Amino acid sequence: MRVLIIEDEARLARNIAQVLKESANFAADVCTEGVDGLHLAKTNPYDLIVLDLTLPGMDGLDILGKLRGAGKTVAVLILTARDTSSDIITGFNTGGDDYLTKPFDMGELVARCKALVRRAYGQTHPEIKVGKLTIDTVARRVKFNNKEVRLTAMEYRTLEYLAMRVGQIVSKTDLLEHLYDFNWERFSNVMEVYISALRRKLDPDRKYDLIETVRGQGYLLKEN
Amino acid sequence: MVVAIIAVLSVTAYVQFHETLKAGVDSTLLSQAEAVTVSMAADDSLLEARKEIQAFFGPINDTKSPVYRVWFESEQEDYVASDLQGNWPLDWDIRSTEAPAIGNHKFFEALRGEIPYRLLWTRDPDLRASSSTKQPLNIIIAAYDGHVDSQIGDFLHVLLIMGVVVIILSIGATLLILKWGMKPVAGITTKMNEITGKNMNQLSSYVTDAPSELRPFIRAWDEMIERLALAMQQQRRFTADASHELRTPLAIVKSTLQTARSRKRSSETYESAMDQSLEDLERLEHLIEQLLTLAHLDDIESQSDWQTIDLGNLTTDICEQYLPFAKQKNGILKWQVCPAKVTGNGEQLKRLLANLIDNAIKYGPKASEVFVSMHSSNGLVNVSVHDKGGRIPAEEQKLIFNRFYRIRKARKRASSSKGSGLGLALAQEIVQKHRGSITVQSNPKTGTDFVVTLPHI
Repeated sequence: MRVLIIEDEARLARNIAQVLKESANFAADVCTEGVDGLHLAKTNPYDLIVLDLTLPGMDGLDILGKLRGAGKTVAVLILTARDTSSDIITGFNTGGDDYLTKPFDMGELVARCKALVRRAYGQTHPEIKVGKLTIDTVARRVKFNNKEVRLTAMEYRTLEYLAMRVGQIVSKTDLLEHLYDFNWERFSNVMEVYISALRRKLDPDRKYDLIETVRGQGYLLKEN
Repeated sequence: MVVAIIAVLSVTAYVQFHETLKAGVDSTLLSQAEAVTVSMAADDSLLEARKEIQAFFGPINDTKSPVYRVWFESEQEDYVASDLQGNWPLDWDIRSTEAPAIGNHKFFEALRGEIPYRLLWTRDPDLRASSSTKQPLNIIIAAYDGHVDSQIGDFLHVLLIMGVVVIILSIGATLLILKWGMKPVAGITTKMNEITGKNMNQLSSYVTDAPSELRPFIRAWDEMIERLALAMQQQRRFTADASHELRTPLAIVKSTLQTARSRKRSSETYESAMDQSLEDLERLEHLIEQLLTLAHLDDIESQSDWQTIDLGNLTTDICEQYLPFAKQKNGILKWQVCPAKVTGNGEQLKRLLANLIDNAIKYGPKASEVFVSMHSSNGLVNVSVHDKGGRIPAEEQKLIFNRFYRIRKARKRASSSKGSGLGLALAQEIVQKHRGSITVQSNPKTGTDFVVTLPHI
């Protein structure tokens, strides 16, 4: 999952990015200016945008309006000091999916972000079950055949994304764009490394063909 | 008021009318007595005179007929009387009454049963030529004067009815006029009642048919509403801005501490989180302090704590205070002052100058010169703070004195080096309290000049 944080207070933005990486295993990009923020939001396939409203360059509501105008369906959480009912109503009516006022609790922000992303992929339960695979997205624990599997952060991020899109073929580019922030060097074969690590850890005996490689198209996590 | 006037008029009219009617009765009685005297004076025909008098008064047959007695004082019997048998019908006893002097007369009130009579007693000298005794001639004539009271009664009756009618009519008319006159006022009152902090509509947009007498009032009212609406809008904006400005650093501190606490970290990470939080708290502290100063300035109008201050000395003090700060930034701070006395609050004036010098050192170009100069002329003293930067774009020069305004370039700076956005607003407020003005000139060639002008004494 990849999130964009548009927030002019750099320290606050960095803190949010850090917590979302650590507690939700998201890839996070930070932008402290409105115009750049809109550009990033339009050109990258984010799963979530955390949007401040009072921004230099362009107001957060303008960014939101322009994004929705351009047909972007990305989930947007508005994070602002503007706390009157009319501000909140305007926020939702402009296309916001959630609204949190400053000062806020980091734990609450993380929970809201996770819920928004879950819902964006049509999931309602915080625990995703795919056949013998269970992913607890709150505790970030993975079980296969009732056995706990220990994964690295990047392996978990990859598996969670594939599970969110269960039954769909996910291309390598898609994976790279959703799992890495723009500070990473992107090598496309890094995905192959993670996928084979996942297969090995989840299903050491290769009894199940859990993650299928669709030649020339990408990867597919199947129900059984 | 109307009732009182009518009452006074009624009483006056009553008194006047009563007097006139009484006078009429009296003059009738006097002329009757004169006629009797004249008849009696013809002494050769006293018997004729008696007939004349009896004819004159006519038959005495009812309770309202005149009553009279005419006699000479030495004689036992009345010479002529309404009842020669000596039956006296009036409750008026001659024996208990003092007689008028000769040649004079007196009037009395008497009653015949219940009926009021007016009584005249004349005592004339004996005018009979033949009389040897010359006994005075007494004449008593009493005439019914109940008609006076009944006429006055009728008159009062009419007066009363008229009075009541006039009062009722005038009250009715007054109410109608008031109602008609207050009709637009009632409409306006309804609209006024609808005015609240959120609904500050102008009366003139509703009341288009107001009479010309009310138009100046409506205009004045609308102007007041306009001023109030502006003040409230500014207040609302200020509150919104202040809440944003207070919440943001709070959110940063909270997020920093929560992030640090969200898992086990190295002591260096904790230290850095604490340092950052302290820095943010200092910013918050500065902001709160400035907000409180502003609120204080808004509150206090009094000049009770004003003193005479030498602005030259004050400026020198502040410049000396800021010298180390300028050196720390590798810059130079120079000043040139002249003695100039002003009245004002020393603390506030210090804050004003400190603010401008602090800004010049902080936001002017690094390692350059800040020059504070002063001169006075025409009862005004100018203090100018100059730096070599041209950092304020022309279109923003008017806006920088607004509360929470930050020039665009400054907004992109990291939070720690951002100002509160209140410094110049505070400076302007202080200058205005001291009946002065503050202006700015800034362009990249000549640098930036903030000039404070104060009245000097």
